[in-house]
Order: sequence, then structure tokens, then C-alpha cells
Amino acid sequence: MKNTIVMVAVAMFATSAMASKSRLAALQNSTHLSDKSDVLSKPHAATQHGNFTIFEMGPTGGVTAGSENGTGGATPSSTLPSQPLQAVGGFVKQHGDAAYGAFLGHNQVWVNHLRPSVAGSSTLSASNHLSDENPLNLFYGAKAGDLAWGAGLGYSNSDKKTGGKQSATTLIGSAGTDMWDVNLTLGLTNTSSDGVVGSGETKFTGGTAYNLDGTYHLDGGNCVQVTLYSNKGKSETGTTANYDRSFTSNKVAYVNHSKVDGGEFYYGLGYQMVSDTNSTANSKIEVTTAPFVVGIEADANSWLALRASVTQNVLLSSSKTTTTGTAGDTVTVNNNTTVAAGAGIKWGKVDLDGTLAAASSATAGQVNGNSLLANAALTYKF
Amino acid sequence: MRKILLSLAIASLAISAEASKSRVTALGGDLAVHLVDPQTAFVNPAHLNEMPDYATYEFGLTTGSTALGNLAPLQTPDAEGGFVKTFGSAKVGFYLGRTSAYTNTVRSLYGFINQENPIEIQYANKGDLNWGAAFNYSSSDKKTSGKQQAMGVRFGVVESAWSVGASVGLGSTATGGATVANAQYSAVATALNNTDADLGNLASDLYTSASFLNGAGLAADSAADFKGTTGFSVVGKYNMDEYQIYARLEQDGFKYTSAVNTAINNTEMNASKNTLGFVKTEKIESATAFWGAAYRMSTLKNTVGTSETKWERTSLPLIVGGELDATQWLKLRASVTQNVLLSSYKKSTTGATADTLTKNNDTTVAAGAGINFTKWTLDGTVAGQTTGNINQSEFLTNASLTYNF
Repeated sequence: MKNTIVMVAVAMFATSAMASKSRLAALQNSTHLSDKSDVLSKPHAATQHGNFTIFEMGPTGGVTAGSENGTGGATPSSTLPSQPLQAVGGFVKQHGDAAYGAFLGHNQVWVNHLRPSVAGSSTLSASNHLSDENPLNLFYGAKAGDLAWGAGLGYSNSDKKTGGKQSATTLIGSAGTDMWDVNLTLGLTNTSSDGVVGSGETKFTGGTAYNLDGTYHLDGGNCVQVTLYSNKGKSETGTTANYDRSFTSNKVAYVNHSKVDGGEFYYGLGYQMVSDTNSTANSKIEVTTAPFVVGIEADANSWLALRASVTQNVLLSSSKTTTTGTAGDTVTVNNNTTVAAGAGIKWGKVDLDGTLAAASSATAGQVNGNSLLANAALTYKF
Repeated sequence: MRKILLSLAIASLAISAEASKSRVTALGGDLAVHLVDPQTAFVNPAHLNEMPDYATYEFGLTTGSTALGNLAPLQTPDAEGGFVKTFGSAKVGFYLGRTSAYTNTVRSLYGFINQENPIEIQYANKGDLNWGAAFNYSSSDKKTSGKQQAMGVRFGVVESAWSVGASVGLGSTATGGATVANAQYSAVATALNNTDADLGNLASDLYTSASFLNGAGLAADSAADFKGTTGFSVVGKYNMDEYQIYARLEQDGFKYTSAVNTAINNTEMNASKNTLGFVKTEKIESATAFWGAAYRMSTLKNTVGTSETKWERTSLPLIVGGELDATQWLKLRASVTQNVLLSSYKKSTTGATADTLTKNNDTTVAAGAGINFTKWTLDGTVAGQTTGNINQSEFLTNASLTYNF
């Protein structure tokens, strides 16, 4: 048992050398990964990674939810919210058994998820509200014996009068030991408006939102994770309801990870049920998938770590759409084999992480001067 | 003899550190029968016994369900990957995303769903007999938008002097055809002529021929039906000193019915390709050079009702290639292929035989590189192999990452 704990700790330490969204993306956000960017969803993890500051490169965040990763609107969508590519930065500082930190620009993905949005559009309108602008995330973690605990707060507020307004508040709590961890992200408030004066104003009001995530490490490099995500929100123009969405995603995943020279190899299988309902239009989508993932991260030499992964649905995969009360057929989800890869370059206390653009971008398969690293991030450990 | 076999085995082991579609492509594809590579394990699963454990990731886009562009997985960068690990004397592998070029191409031509999210389970064992087997499966049901299923098995044996690998289709069905615009046939015909001339001819005739769609394109038909007929591929190889003599037999086909596309209703297509050839390999310092030739006969017969169109092709491709360690961290590879002396093509339509023509000029150079970082290898084909340019925008393509455990 002691050996197992040590092995898990070593594995966590080995993989935590790098830290970025790009690293997690290159490894398909696998269940077992430990990363410095975890501090945003697991504030207790701030006690595990030492002092560091990180700069995720990218454009300034979009003005509207549509230019972020929002899938708001009357049409239910099974797409889970994900971090948009944009500028994010922050730091973590240790203070005895405690640690604290702050991040700028980090979207809490639940906030934009159901806000009115038109994909790819940055034009403010009744159907495309502001995104969470200039979000600030603060967190604190501390150790109490083998147990680490933490709490965090995310906040964003902007009021441009007729240029729209929005506000969102997120509370985060987490705890864990070497064997298990659990974290809860709780959406406290989420409102937005298109800024129209009078009865023509379109308002969005978020309902209860949470993401509860529990991970347990078993013997032999086995790891089980349960993730429950729920988000609600409705849009109204005056007294007319535009949509009233309720989104849930329940996932259980198993991963086996084993140590290789300078890194680790893993594979795993998940079972995920996603449901999104718009009660206003009596529309719904229900998707069940069983994604399999195979990934590896290992040192290529003293200054370079490479990572790659592949995932796709296997055997179980179905989608059912109900449109204005009429249920459609239950159909198989589209082909979705996805390869992701990345590199981490280490210069002493500085790490440069990025995804290999050749893996799955528009220039798929090409490695050249125009298509090398993407989603780059710089981390400095001090 | 024993030394030569040993040196061949060592050469194979050295080569197995590399692994990718791009490597096989750069070395001449199926003419380079001496290769042992994670990609050749899809021809002979017993090759798994000859390689170290690995995890491999072929970069590429997620292929669309009815992508007409998915014409040749050896050259088209589609996402796929998997791993192989040792358990005692056995090797067990699991692979995601590996599709059949033939199946996807003919299905696409007739508007059906491609193979979706295929999985392949691989097993090999090295005992008295060095053998391997694999099973692949893909199934999807989109109801009114169509459905498809495909599965197959592979078997292989590798002995010191000989080897046999076989792939057998256990069924390929699809229903519910989508619209295929006529212009797409034109584009596909052009692309296929560089990869599979027989299917390229079929696409071309679907584009223009009065016996086929005659410029009308394919209309959507939710009741259209595609049934694959018995398909197999068998490759037998015999090692004789530095020579490897091989025979490859390939057969495939399908039946197509549609009450909407009456011009091609009740299509029956049968294709066969038989190849007899040899490859001579030679180890020169840190390089493995090879050359070889093959005699290839292929027939593709397409019957629509009483109308029959048959393409017969004979060729004698010659290949010269090699792979060398340029440095400790860089492996370079290149090959040139061309038909020599024999290269004819004949099309017959319902008994009327056209002239036998010489195939077009087809000298092709392929090149690639493998960059080694201890246990990692980044492989790619040189993007400028067909343009002559090597610059920042044309460097490596069809890239992959492989980790050898």
C-alpha cells in the first residue's frame, strides 16, 4: 500500500513538471493527470506544485459569448464547454503549509456555456451577449496532515449600459490526499443583458450550476473518476421567454497509468451521458458515449518532453434529438477519432509548452515553419 | 546464409524503431515488402513479434462520415493511433481509427457512410510458431441518414525463411446513400488516378460515362443498399539470401442497388489485383538500400444490368530506395518508382474492346525523415517531394509520433 502511495506520488510529480492548457489538451484532459493549471478547479492543488507563475498565450478574450465557446440559444447542444484559446496568466505562492494565488483572464467555462451566443460572432445582440470579461480568480489552499484543502473565487462584472452588461460569480472548493481528491465548482450568479433599454431588453439569468468531480487512485496505477456537471439558464425578452435550458453531463471514467522512462503511459475508458433540454421549445438532445483514450507523455531528452494521445468513441455511442416535442431516431454519434500531441521545452526554471499544430489542426499532418507549436504557454518556477 | 538471415533480422529490428504511414509511403508503399513496421502489422499481424512495445499516433483530421476525400489512408492524414504491449510471450495491441482505403473509397463513390470509429484488437505470440491475429470492427446507425457495418480479421505467420499475412473481410454493408454531386466525381477521379488507377477509372466513368451516371451525379436514396462481397488480401514472402520474393493476391467487390439511381441500379463490382515480385535489401554501413520489381495484373469489372465495363491493367513497377541514419537523431529515407517495359491498360465495354494503351508517365519520388529523440520518433514525408521545394511551408507532412517503450 505504501509503495502504491509512493508510486502515485511519483507519477503525479513526474507529470506535473509541465503545466498548461496545451499540455492537458495534448493528453485529452485524461482523468488521472495532475497539472499546475489544476489550481483553478482544485485550489487545494496549489499546495502541491510549488511557487510558479504561468502565462498562457493567446488573443484577448472575445467580447461576446459567441466569440468564446458558448453554445447558448434555443437549440440544445451536447457540446461540453471548454476553455477558449485566449490570454490567461497567474501565479501561485507557497506560504508555509499554505498557498495562495490569482489568475487573470481565466474563463469559468460554465459561465458562457448557456449565455445567448452566436458561434464565431463578436457582435452584441439579443442572441449574442457579452462573455465574462476580465475575469479574476483567487484561491487559497492549505495542508492539514495528509489532507489538503482549498477554496477559490471567480468573479467577472461589466456594465456598458447600452453596450450590454454581465456578471458572474463562482465559488470553488476542493480537498484531497495522495489517494483521492474531490472538487466542487458552484455557479453562484450568472446574468447578462443586451443593454436594450425598456421592454425590448433581453436578459439571461443563469440557474444553479455545479461541477462535482471525484477521483480515486487504486492499486496498480488504476484510477477512477466521477464527474457530474449541471448548468441551467434562461433568456427572456421582456416577458417573452426565448429559451430555458437545462444541461447535465454525468461521466464515469477509468484510467490505467504506468510509469515509463521519464514519464507515463495511460489508457482508459469512460462512459458519459449528456442531456440538454430547452423546455420553452420542448426540445432536447441526449447523447451517450464511451470514449477510449490512449496517451503517453515522456521526456525526449533533458530539455524536451513530448506527449501524444488518441481518443474515439467505442461500441457505445448514441444521440437522440427531440425537436418541438417530436422525438427523432436514436442514431450513432459521428466518427470522432482525434489525435492530439504536444511538446514541453524546459530551460531550467522555465517551461514552454505547446500543442503540435500538425496533430489535428487545419494543417493536419504538416510540420513546418508555419505550423509547429500552438496554444503556447510559459511557466516560471521560483 | 545464417549470417544473412541474422543481418536481415537485425536490419528489421533497427527499422522497427520507426513507425508510420509516412515511412511506408516514403519507401514505396506495398512495393517495399521488406519493411517491418507498426503499419505493416495491418498486413501481417505477426510483425508485432518483431518490434518493441510502442504507442503510435498518426496526426490528421477527424475524417467526416461521408468524406469523399478519404481516398488512401497511406497518404491521407487521418487521425489514428494505438499501442502494443508485451504480456509474457504475447503481444497485445489496441488501435483506434484505422479504416480501409478500399471500403471507404467505394462507399464514398456511391454516397454511403464511411467506416466510423473503427477499432482493431491485435494479438501475436512468439512460440514454436511466430504468429499473429487481429480483429477489426466498425458499426454506426444514423437511421434515415444511413448506417454501416464492417468487420474483418487478419492472420499472419513469420518464420525465418518465409512469412504469410492475410486479411479477410467478414462483411461490409451500408444503407442510405447521400447525394454525390457530379463535380465531386471529377475531383475524385483525378485524385484516385495517382493512388488507385482502377478506382480512378471507375470514378471517371461515374462522372461522364453514358453507361453510368452520365453527368447527372448521384441522387440521395435512403433505401440504397451496399453489400460488400468476399474480400481478402494474402501476401506470401520467401527469403532467399538478400532477396525476398513475394506474391500478393487481393480481391474485393460489392453490390449496389437503388430504386432512385436507376442508371446504376444492380451494380456489381469485382476487383482483383495479383502481384509477383521481389525485393533485394542490402545493409551498407548505417543504411539499408533496396531495389525490386514486381509484375502486377489488375482487373476491375463493373456490371450494371446487362452492361459490363472491364478495366484490365498490367504493369511492371521498378523501385529503388533506401533508409539511412544521417545522424544519431535523424533518419532519412527515399524511393523512386516507375513502370518499366510493361505498362498497359485496356478498357472493354459490353464486349467492345478498346485499344490497349501504355499507361501515362508515372515516375514518382517519395522521401521522408524520422527524427529520433531517444525513445520518441517524429516521422513525416518531405512535403516538397512532388514539388522539389524544401522550405518553411513545405517541410514535413503526414507526421506521426511514436514512442518505443
